[in-house]
Amino acid sequence: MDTVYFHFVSGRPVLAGAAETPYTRGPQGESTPSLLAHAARGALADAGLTPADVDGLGVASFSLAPDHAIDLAWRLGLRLSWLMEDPHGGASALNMLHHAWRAIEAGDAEAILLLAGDALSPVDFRRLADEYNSATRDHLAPIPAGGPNALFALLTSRHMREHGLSRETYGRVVLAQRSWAALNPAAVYREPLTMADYLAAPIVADPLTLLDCVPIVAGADAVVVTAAERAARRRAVEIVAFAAAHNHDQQEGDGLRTGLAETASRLWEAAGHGPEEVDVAGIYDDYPVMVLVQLSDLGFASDGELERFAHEQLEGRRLAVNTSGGQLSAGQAGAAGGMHGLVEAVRQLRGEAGERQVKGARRAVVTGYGMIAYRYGACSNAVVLRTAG
Amino acid sequence: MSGGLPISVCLACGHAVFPHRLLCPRCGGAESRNEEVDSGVVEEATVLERVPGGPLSPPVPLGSVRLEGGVVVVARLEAGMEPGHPVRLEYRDGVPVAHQAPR
Repeated sequence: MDTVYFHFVSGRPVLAGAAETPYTRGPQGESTPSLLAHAARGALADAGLTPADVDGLGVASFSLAPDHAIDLAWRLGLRLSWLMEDPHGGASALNMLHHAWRAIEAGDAEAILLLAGDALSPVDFRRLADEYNSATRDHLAPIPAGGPNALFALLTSRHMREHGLSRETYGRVVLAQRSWAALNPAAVYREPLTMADYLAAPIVADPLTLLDCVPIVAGADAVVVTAAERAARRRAVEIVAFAAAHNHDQQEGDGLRTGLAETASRLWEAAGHGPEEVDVAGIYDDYPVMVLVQLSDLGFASDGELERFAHEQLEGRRLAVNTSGGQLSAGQAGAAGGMHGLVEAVRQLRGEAGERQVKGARRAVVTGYGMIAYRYGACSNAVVLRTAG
Repeated sequence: MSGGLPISVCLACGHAVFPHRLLCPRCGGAESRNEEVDSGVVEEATVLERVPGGPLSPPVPLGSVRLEGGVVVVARLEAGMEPGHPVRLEYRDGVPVAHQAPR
């Protein structure tokens, strides 16, 4: 008699559940594992599953050490046939989603829990910033470059010069997201901002101010990926297309294009539609300049008209971008920053985004970006989602 | 210890990079030699004034410098330098430092 080790039914993968812990300005007694557990319980409850149903786990965190994914699995009581850990910061969530998508399709797992989160203090953050990778430790920290802010100040200066922009254009990105945040009770920074406030904010590294640099918060996000057959139909969000381009220019360019520029046409072709049919966009927003760069790379904006685009499309809400307030207003909870936009997209596509709900939202795109190899982010990815059925 | 900035030049194809790579990004070659480069032009400049937790004292001027030959590096700058300024680059205790080049 043959022994059957695995007899899973493969199927069309969907996002069956999503959750985010409340983001807070400091750890407030929570640890990274406790935040990840909190998000895990939320996403499983949302999917109508229990820990016993889970057979796949992926985790992204800058502060899980000395534990790894398996230790977290043990501490959560999970028995698994699929396990991964992804250290790639702002690109980690979508990278894990890509692998999970294929694993569900292949039948390697039936219910995959993806977690991302961190409880970082400013001291943790500085240590992380100085030892991000060997190039940072050896060539940037000794300057001292002080982490990513100064590098993105230089990148923003290049972008301003290249496109003839002033600080106001980046301010429009920040103000647009802050006005979305006012509609999101979970956003950490919700106070209304004016352009005068933006221009008068304390300088971090010219031209960037405190309002251009993601505020560090503590928190975690989670999603559950299953085959469509396992998910409650009404709540499932279908994963339609995925694209990634990592180290696309070997850090020998200017950082004003991400890898998305070369993969966007394949992404839209696989999705069966273009950017004009997208209802909600979650664009990785470590700095406002990167929102504009990625929106150009994806074909939402053209380089020659970024000021008008920021004013009419973003401030005018003709295009719904980062409707939670994004990381710039909701906060960046370390590696959770890469999953924040995904969780918001799921909420929007289910019609569960409260006061900030985009009416009739059926299609979304979410991007990931990050991992400064030397001068700018080396990782880029994007996923297109739609309401199931 | 100081001198020009040691960039890596591929022995097979001559492509120059900084920092050093394990394999040449252009041809895949594994062997390279160091070449000290000491002149370039400031492309962008900033002054880091705040770090997470508060103001940075003293502030640190830094920028992107395009070296002769085209490689762009991040360097500490002498105060007051602006884009377009030609610089003399010194590699001091592991830090690239850009000084105003004599005109």
